Formats: sequence, structure tokens, C-alpha cells
Amino acid sequence: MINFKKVKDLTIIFLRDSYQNMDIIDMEKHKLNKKSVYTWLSIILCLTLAILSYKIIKFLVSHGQEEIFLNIYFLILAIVMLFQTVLVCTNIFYFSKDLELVLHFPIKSTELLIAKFCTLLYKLYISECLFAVIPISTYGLLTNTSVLFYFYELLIILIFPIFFALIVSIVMMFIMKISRFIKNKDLFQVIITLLLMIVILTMEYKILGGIFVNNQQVESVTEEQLMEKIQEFNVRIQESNKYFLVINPSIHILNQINIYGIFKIIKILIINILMFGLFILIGKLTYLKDILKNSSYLISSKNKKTNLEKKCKKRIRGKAYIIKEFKSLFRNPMFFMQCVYPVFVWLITLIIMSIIIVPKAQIVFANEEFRSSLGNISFNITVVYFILGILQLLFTMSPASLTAISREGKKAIFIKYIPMSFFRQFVYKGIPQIFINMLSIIVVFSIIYISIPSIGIKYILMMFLLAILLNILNSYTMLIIDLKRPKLEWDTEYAVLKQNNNKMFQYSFTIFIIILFMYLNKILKDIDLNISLYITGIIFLFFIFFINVFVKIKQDKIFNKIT
Amino acid sequence: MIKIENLSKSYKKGKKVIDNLNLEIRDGEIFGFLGPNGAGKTTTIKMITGILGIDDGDILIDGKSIITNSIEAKKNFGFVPDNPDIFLKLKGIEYLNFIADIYEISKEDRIKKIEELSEKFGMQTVLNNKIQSYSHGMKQKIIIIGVLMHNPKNLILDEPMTGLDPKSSFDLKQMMKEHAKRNNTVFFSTHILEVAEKLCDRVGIINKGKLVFVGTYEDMKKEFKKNISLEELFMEITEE
Repeated sequence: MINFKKVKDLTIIFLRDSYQNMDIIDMEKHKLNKKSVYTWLSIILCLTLAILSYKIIKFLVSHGQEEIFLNIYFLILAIVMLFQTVLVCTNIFYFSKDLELVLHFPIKSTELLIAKFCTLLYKLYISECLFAVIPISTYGLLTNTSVLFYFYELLIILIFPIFFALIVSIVMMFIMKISRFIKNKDLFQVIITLLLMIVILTMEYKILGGIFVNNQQVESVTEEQLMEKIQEFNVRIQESNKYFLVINPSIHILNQINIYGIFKIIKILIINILMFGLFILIGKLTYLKDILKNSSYLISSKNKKTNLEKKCKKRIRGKAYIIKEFKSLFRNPMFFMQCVYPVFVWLITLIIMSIIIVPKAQIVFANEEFRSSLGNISFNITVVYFILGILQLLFTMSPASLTAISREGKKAIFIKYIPMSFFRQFVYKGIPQIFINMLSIIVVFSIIYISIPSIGIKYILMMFLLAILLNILNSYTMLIIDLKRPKLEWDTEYAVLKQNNNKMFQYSFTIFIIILFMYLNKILKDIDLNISLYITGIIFLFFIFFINVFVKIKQDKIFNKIT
Repeated sequence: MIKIENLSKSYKKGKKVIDNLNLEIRDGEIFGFLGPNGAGKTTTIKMITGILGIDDGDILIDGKSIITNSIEAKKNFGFVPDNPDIFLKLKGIEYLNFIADIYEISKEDRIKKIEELSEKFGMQTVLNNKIQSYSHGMKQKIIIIGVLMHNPKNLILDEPMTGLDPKSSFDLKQMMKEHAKRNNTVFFSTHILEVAEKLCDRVGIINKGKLVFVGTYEDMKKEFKKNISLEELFMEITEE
């Protein structure tokens, strides 16, 4: 028998171990804490999400196509849940340090497994609260549904991520079983995540390929035909959503609000219960054995004398520092998976989408009537800001600079006692993030160059330079945030990345940049494109120069949180 | 030589954790810094090494101020922190190379030093392994090798004996003695009074942020007119 009291206590211990209080609620006064910066960041994020959802849903409602919103949104939510689970599940289930602290207690493997699953689910609920509640509620408001909608919404939000967490966890346990021949723990962790990621990306490729199947030449497009096409597209998304079992029932419940929705809820619950049964069954047979196997893994070490002549190389100080930064980031599986992996995943997704969508879009856009029906589309500053906006979103995927100081933990004091100025160290610490973001820049501009050759190499290069400046601006702004609010006291590497509230600043910075682009677009759209690009470059340079001067002058103060 | 002049530090306004500390650690001397938990030992060491800002006073490392000439002052000391978990994902040799680059040590010198020190500390065969695979004592040793590579005049160690096995502890004490013998300074904090009694030329006892005693064990016995052990004297001084 499973002792659920033990499961509850274990879950609380695991969660408390990694919980970081944001002080959004003043516990004494039971009110919002207006002094907490996180309160304001949360308000900004919620408002932005609400405005964006409102505009999209209102547009779809005006064209009678509101259903498409839930179809696409739930598919995106499912993919986000899958990716998030992949990135954290191996660490939560098999590699977290808290396991070593509880393994000697008389706890059954199933109890431990359920507590770990609850911990994973809690993380997914936090993401859902951020990204699902507001858009779905806005949908409810704009489609004039009854109070029952919000009741169903709540139930769906509670049960929706369970299916995805279970699928990934079961696949993970299988992969753990068959990949035990890898003896290096760090390598093992990366390979497991890589294998899981390949499974998800293949699935994504199949689904997107299924949605965008139409290769027909577009002869002429009237508004009715366009609506027909959208309807067709909608049906294909629904077809693809079937693969995920719980998406279509969830959408159906929210689209047709009636008492029978409860039966669909029961259907989703039954699917989840069956999956959970399978999860427990596999876990009972393998989980504890695999944990014990993992904890006995050693980092491969062969004791033999080092050839110093070969291994000792003199490098200039800056280069040595940067290499050390890269090694610390890329060799730590947790840091690598949280700071580098997401960028790879999104870039591969972007490439997959381009491979599937671009040829179809090129056929559609080749049709003159269709082009004229959309108005005169030409390359202008709006397109530039749109591309830079997408890059800004991609930059948000990696918290490398945002955690550059926090990742050092207690050993960050090293920064203070080595004979190297804080400013120089500041410059070097921002470079890994710049390098990671450069991958996004190269991929995005390669896709643009291949798919829209009409833009011309001159403008691609100019945008490329602007993107590099934006990249530098992002990296050093995030580094300042981490220096001002470092999280140096941590026991698990997982905590420093996933429980780092500074992520809110990164989201807010992205919102700020996008608003800045919208404003600049408004004032520069009637000016010559070249001049607009130069002005944008000068603005970025001004910000970068300001950051440099600020850090140079205030370096002692900026680094004073490291003690 | 380390010279601490009128040093004060407060974390909260009006509550000094270090109160007007004056201390001089001479060349060729092993100086033990003692005090109960929370007395201000680590805070003082953090200020000497530039990790923590100074409210009042100054610290001179071989005449270079840690406030106004911090980079030069930092070149003059080597610091062994209390927690040896440093750059765990680097291999021992990579860490030493990194330190050698930071202190701009030539290739020939670093090879010579690494060879000499790794042999002395019995680390030759593990230099190519990642630091995370090292035991606590080995981690401490790799940091000490890194510190000694640039041959600093002043060695500052925060609780260096914690977690060391008898052999590692003995090696470390030997190293401290040899370092001081070459007319260098060794400044370390410790809770282990026997170590301080046997190893140190002089000790300083800090309590509630104030330096309550500086001198040799013999001076202490004379000052307090009692022929009792250092442990008993320490209790008497810090209990007041």
C-alpha cells in the first residue's frame, strides 16, 4: 500500500528545497506586496499576455474563426509542456541531489516516484499559470460563454499537463533502462535528454508536416476562399491534435459549454489514470534500481601521470577566462540543458517549420492576385523590426548571462579576489550568451536569405549587424540583473536555473524591446530604410555604450552582492 | 606583510561586526586568527582579500591598499577559501593552467611549479581528472597548488584544516611552515586551538568584532597571569 502522507511530506520537502519566495503577497497584511519588483514584473507580463490574447482572439472572433485559437493554442501548450518536461524530468527523477538525502529513509520506490512526479507536475502548473490561464480566460470573455466555462477551464488546467508529464516520464524510464551502458554520469544525462528531444522533435515534424500538406497552386483567392482555406487548416490542426489524445477533448469541452462536458473530463481522467498505472508499474520494476545504479556512477577518472609539456599552454588572461566560462557552462549537464539546449530545440523547430512552411508559402506568394489581395507588401523597417523581434524572443530562451554569476554559487567570491578588474570580468562573462545567441542569428538570417532572396544581401548584412548589437545589449543587460540580484546560495544546480525569479526580468526586457520596436516603427516607417536602419543601430550602440560606462564607473557597487 | 588599520564594518546601521581593528602580520610569521563563531574572522578575511567592502580604515598588502590599489594588492596574496568546491567541471590541470594564465606565469615556470607542487602534494596522477571526482582533501590541495604557483608573499587561508584527513592536515601544516621560513607571511583562521598553539608564531583573538588579544601563547599566559592551556585561556577571554 502506498502511504500518501509520506508522499505528501516528500513532495513538500522536494518543493521547499527548490522554492524561491517572490514576495508577491505580503503575508502580514494579506495584500499584494507593492514593494516587490516581482509583483510589478508579474503585472507587466500578465498585462502583455492579456493584450496580445485579446487582440488575436478579437480578430478571429470578427472573422468567425475563434475556434482556431484554442486549436493552435492547446497544440503550442502541449509542445511547450513536452519540451519543459524533457528538460527537467531526468534531473528531477534521477539526478537531483535531494535523492541522496532521502534514500536511506524507509520509503517505497513508488512513494518516491509519486512524490517526484508531483514535483514535476508543480513546475508544469507554474508554467500553465503564466502562459495558459490568461489567454484561455480572455477567450472565454470574448466568446461570451457562461460561468461553466471557467469551471471547466480550471479542471482542464489541472488535468491537462498530467498526460504529457506521464508520456515523457514513461519514455524516459525506458531510455534509462536501455542506456545504462553509458558509465559517465554527465554524458549519460545529456544523452538521455537528447534522445527524448529527438522523440519530441520527430513527433513535431510529423504533426507540422500533417498540418501543412497542401501543395496546390493558388489560382485566385476571394475572401470566402480564404475563409475556406482557414477552415481547412483548422480541420488539419484538429486531426494532428488527435495524436495527443487529451487536446481535442479539452478544446471540445471549452467550445461547447454544457453539462456533458463533465463526461469528456472523465474521459481525460481515465486516460490519465491508465497512463499513471503504467507509469507506476514500470517505476515499481525499474525506478529504485536505476537510481541506485546512477548514484554509484563515477565520473570517469583514470589515474595516470599528466604530460605537462603537452597540457600546459600559456594563454592571454582574457582568453583563459572565456575558455573557463565556456567549459563551466558546457560541461555541466544541468547548465547546458537549461542554457544551451532550449536554443537548439527552438532553432531546430524553426528549421523544421521553415522546411515545411516556406515552400508552401512561396507557392502561395508567387500568385499575383493573392499578393495584391494582401496589399503592397515590400521590405521595409516594419519587416526589420519583426525579424529583430523574433530574434529577441529567441534570445529569451537562454538564461546564460542571466545566471552567469548565480551559477558560480558560493565560489563566485573567486571573482573578487583574483587580480583582474571587475569590468574585464564583466565583459568576459557576457561572451557565452553572445555566442549562444549568435547561433540564433545565423540560423534566422540563413532561413531569410534562402526563403526571401528578394531582400538582398546588403539589407541582410545590415540586419545581421543590428541583430549582433541587440544580442550584446541583451547579454550585458541580463548580466547586470544577475549581478544586482544573484542567487548564490543553492544546493542543486537545478534550483539556480529553474527557481531563478530573475527570468521575469528577461521576459520584461523582451516586452520592453518589442514595445521599443513598435514605437520606432511608428516614427521611422516614413523615413528612408537605410536611414532608419542607421538610427536603430545608433540607438543600440547608445544603450551598449551606456551599459559599458555605467559598469566601468560603478563596478565596485555592481559587484558588491558577491560576498 | 599584511597591515590592517582602523578597520570597521557594519552590516546593519549602528551595529559594527568589526570594530576598529588594528593588526600587523609580519614577514616570516605564521599568524593564527581565532575567535568563536560569529566573532568576525571570516568577515575580516573577506575584507583583506577584497571580497567584502570596507566601511572605515584600510588594509595594506605589502604596502598596496586593497581599496585604492586593489589589483596590485591582489597580486601579492594567495587565498585558500573555506569551501574547496571550485570549478568542479574543470580538470585539475585545466584549473592550474587557468590560474597560471590569470597570474601571467610563463609556460616554463608553470610546468616547473606544477611538477614540483603536484609531486609534493601527491597529485601527479590525478591532474587529468575533473575536480568533481576529487575528495575534499584533494580539492583543498589543488587550490593550494594553484595558490602557491605564483609564489605569493602572503598566504591567507580560511579554516584550512576543516575536513582534512591527518595526512592532508600534516602536509598543509608543513607547507605553511615552509612558506613562512622563506620570509613569507601566513595568515589563517581556525577553530582548532591545538593547531594554533603548535603552529603559530603569534595568534590574534577576535570576539564580537573586537581584537581582544594579539601575541604569542607565552604572552597570553603572562598577560592573564595563568599557567593554563590555550583552550582554557581562549574560553576565559571570549566568555567575558
